[in-house]
Amino acid sequence: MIETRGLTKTYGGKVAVSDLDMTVAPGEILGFLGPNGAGKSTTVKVLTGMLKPTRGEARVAGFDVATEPLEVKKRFGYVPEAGTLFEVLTGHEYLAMVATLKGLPENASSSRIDELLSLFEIGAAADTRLAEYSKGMKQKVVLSAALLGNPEVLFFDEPLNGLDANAAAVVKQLLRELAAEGRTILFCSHILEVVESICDRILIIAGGRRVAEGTPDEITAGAGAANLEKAFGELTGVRTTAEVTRDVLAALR
Amino acid sequence: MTGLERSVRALGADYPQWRTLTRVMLTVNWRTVPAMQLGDQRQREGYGGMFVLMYGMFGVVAAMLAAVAPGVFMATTVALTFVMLVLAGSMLSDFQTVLTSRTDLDVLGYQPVSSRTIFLARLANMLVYGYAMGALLTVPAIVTMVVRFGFPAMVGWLAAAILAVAWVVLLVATSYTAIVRAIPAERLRRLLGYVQLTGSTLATGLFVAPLLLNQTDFLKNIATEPTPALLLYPPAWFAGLPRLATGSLTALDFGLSAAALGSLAALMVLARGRLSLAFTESVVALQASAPATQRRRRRRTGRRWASAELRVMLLVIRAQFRHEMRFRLAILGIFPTGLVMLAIPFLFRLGGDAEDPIFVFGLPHMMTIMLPVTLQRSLASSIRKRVEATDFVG
Repeated sequence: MIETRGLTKTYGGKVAVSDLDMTVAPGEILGFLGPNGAGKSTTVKVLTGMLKPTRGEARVAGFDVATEPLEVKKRFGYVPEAGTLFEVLTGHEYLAMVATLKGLPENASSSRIDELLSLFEIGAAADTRLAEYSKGMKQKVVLSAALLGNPEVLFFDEPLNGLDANAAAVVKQLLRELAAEGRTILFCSHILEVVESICDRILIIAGGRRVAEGTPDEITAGAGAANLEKAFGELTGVRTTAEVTRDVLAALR
Repeated sequence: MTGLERSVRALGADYPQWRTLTRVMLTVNWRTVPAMQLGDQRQREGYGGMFVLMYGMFGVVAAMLAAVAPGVFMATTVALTFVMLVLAGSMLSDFQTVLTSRTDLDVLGYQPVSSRTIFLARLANMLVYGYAMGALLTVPAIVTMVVRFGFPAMVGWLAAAILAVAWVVLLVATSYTAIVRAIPAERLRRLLGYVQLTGSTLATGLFVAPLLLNQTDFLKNIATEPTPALLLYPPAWFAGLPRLATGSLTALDFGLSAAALGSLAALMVLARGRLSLAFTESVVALQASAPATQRRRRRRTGRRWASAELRVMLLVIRAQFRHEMRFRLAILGIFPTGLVMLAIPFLFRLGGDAEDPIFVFGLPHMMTIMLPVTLQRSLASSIRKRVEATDFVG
């Protein structure tokens, strides 16, 4: 379960997230959308205990992220957008480190790591340094790290970054299965087709505030738009693809 | 439960996590070659040999200083001054990201590990490297001590060196964590780069150049006995220990040794305070909320005389100099070293020694070659680093 009530985060005088209320129930995938700079990443950083909220409350798996960050961190897996790794470590070394930090027993974690690396088809590169991995391979390591420890809550921020079509399809299917097993999933992406296809509900924010929430159909109908992309543009004030394309072409001439 | 495990737990860290993080950080540091020392080419094989060679050479300089300075007290004071300067400079250069490493924050920030455990692992990492460097810096002087002053002085030197290394590591850790609250991390890194450059220039000018010139009379002529004024000079505190070991039991010797042990204890207490979760989080929060410094773009109208290629080259050099600290320090580092090399022949003549053609003609020529070669080498490695960090398609 993920819950926020009046969640606000400011940097100096700048408001990044303002009075955000959000609930994601177990077994649900919530698509968390917004244009660049809308406050998505800040919200996720607060929920993952990387930033403290300025005001309001945020609870993950029943624990307050501000007062019990370590309890929260034991219970979620996170695929950050940047996916930073210690690149001089090998894939296996990196995952072994994450397993220990998550408190997994050493003997069990080693076999689980091998299993995950094989499932993501990077088992052959387990003892190669991450610096030599392709972008997609690194993303698979980040995904494996998030899944270690069988977390009850999962935060995915652009999890399909760098993955080829087959791997992306596997991850999408995996997300559905994980939700079906009762895990709570917050899914951030700019690819609206993916969000529309796998998320049960969508929450859209702009300027740090919630502007819409509901199923993809409800949001599209509520905005009086033909599809989710147009609804997203109207709700967030972002120009449509057609408008941007026309202006770029005009500038080229 | 081992003593180490008990100590780590007593400091409030999770032992298995601490052990793993310490191992990982040592591995990461070992595999990532400190760029200052190898011209920005990271992950280079053979770093171990380079590390041993470089600090071993500094260790030989320390041993030579100990051989020249009069008496066990001054020999220890002068050699430790050099060792502590070199060590502090290296720690500042390579371990200044104790608290504010962006990679650490991005990788470990959302893992269930307390910032106290992370900081303790970092401190352990610093101590391991501090003692590795410290061993290379201080072991050659053991020979000097045992030959010049006997076995008890050598034991005293070892004790002084062990405590002085811990003192430098703790001083660097505590002062960095104190300053980082007041100055944004990026600006502090730039500032520390200049401090390190000044320190290395001082170490070269005060110790290495006189040895090269064989102009060490000033060392021979300094006072042999400790004076109360030296109670204000940290390396002298530790030099009280070899004095005690050789049977000199004056009040000043005890005072100096007490200052060494007392300041070390005080640094430990300070370090423990800095290890608190609240402190680390407040630093991270401060750094996260610090506004990024932006420079006003200036319109460049000049350089019409230059070709397009030359203008691009100048632009690249200027941008690298402005944005990349290591490149900037490599370039700035040329001048003090160059000045020393240019000054050597003149000083050599003033000293009334024979005119050695290597000194008189060779060093200025080396300087003339060094400047463009260092510029080219630093620029090439700097650009290569940028290219490696950028994803290109095709």
